Amino acid sequence: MRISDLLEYSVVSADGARLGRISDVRVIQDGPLIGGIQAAFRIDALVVGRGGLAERLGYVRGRVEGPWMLRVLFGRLERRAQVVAVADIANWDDDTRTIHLVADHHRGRRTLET
Amino acid sequence: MNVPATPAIAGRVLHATLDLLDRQLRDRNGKLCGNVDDLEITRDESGQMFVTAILCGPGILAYRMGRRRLGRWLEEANRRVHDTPSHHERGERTRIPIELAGEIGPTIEVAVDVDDLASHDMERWTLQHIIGHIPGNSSRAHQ
Amino acid sequence: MKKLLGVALGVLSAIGGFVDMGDLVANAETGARFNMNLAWVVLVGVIGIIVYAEMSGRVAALCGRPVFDLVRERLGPRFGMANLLASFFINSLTLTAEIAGVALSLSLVSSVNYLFLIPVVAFLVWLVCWRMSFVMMERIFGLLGLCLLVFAVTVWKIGPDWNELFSATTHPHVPHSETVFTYAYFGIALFGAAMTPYEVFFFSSGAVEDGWTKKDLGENKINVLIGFPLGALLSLAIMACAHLVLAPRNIGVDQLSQVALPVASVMGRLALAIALIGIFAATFGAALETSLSAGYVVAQYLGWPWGKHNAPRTATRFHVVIALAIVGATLFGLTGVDPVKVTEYSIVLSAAALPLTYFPILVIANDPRYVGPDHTNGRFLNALASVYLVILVLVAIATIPLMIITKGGS
Repeated sequence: MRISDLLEYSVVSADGARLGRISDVRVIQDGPLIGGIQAAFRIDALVVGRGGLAERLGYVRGRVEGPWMLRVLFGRLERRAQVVAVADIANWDDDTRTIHLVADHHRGRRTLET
Repeated sequence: MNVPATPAIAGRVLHATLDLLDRQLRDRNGKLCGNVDDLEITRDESGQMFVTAILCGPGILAYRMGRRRLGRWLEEANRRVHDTPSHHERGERTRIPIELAGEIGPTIEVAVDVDDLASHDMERWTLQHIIGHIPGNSSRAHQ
Repeated sequence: MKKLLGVALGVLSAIGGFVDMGDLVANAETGARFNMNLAWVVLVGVIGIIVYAEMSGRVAALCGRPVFDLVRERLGPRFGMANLLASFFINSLTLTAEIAGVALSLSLVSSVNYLFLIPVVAFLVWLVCWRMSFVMMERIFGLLGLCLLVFAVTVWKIGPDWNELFSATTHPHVPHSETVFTYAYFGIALFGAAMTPYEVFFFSSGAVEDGWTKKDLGENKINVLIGFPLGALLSLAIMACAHLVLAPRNIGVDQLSQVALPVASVMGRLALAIALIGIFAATFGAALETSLSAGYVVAQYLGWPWGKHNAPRTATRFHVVIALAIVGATLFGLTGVDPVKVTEYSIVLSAAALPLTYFPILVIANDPRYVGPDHTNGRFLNALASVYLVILVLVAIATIPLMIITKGGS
């Protein structure tokens, strides 16, 4: 699948609460060696939420520092997003484009910083 | 189950939308060869997901922006016009395996030749059919 | 010594290159209708373009990415596409205005109808974009643009009451013959004429092509800090001429010839010829920059090869876009559309679209992964740049309503 397909999926917690649409994925290059060249790019977490434009700018997950006005505005928007570990995915429903999470997943709020 | 803020395992950490998508690509000779229009993701049986390729070329961006049919049509049209029989494997020239990505920064360097990519097909076509016929097309501007 | 000469040439070109059809029309019209009551907008605009150009130049030098390249990356393909369409459309209007301006200035010396000259001018513009040395062209047209200094000489020759001139500039008010709305509308027009986006696309793309590095940042700052303000003085001279000569006689500016009328009436035919050379150079230079910008924005959004220095065969689609933009502007100009009106719309819409391209640059100029940890915006610059972002957003919101209320400034 493509990431543009994945970004259409919604994430639903075990008790049925809709957390939002996937807006980004966190990738760690620690997988098995591919082609003998580099470690695989493993997706370790999904970023779920409504940051929209804010998320591309880099105020929280990137390293943009200022100006103060934008950092406050966009930082606040970006932090409304939640991070969900891939390991907490219970099942995929490709028909309704929904991902269901395991019962005891922990909502990581302030874990957007890399 | 806690989501660690900074994973304990070492290795490059990126966010796909922030650090990979829409970045400028440069080929092994430093030439501009398109943007990261989309990314290929592979799910395996154990539930792990990997980013396995960079997708770039005609129709890919259209697909990503919601025009699914238009996107697929453009991809197919380009393939029919430009691909040689040895490239019949679906999407081979719009797909750059991720292990060929080197430096990931303001631009992403990939170990391919720009001529191997579908994103360059129209550039070549324009050269053959339009620009190549106008005098003066091959010299640098006088300095 | 040679380096000093290069810097001097750069500054001089910046002065002469600062003025284009938009500045000519906007400054003359506001001088004729509002006297010096909108002069302060030129000053606000100059500071704005200095901030914008400095940030774009720094970003281009330190990470090799020009403005439009970064628009898609930071705003995403959807916002980026909207931005591309808006910028390309406005750019095309501007190109039409500049080509018409060149044709008009030539028709004023040759008595040939400017419509016949438009295709000739368009072909020349294309030819220069195709093959000729850009450095040389920039120098030639920038220096020839200094002929516009004749407007400043005219003001001095008139010998106005300087106190009165100063007080009008520092204590602006809405003249009785105008409304608050037309005042604001022309203020926006002047602002858009000073902070032209195509200038920044051209400038930052050129910086990347010329391979600017950290070493060039100093020269960038000099060009920008000295060249642009002196260019603004030229603009104000044009405004003052209109205020001193046209306004008292109730002459409005709806043709390019009226912009130069004060010079003709005060200083005579030779000075008029010099003014026309300056106008020709300013508009031709602007036509070149706008044509290339058409190519830059499309190619950079889509990731195509681009560039004016290397052989055209290395950037084929880029050159096709430039040719098509020139053809489109030519056809539009040949419909006989009023060049002054087209110019007005292009600068007003430019002002409205400024936040779209200014905003990503402001963010990236603060991103240490792009400009390096030592070259992110300092606090003073950030404060100033933020103020300008607010101004640009307010201007953008106010533009269309004002355009409707004032019926395009009449």
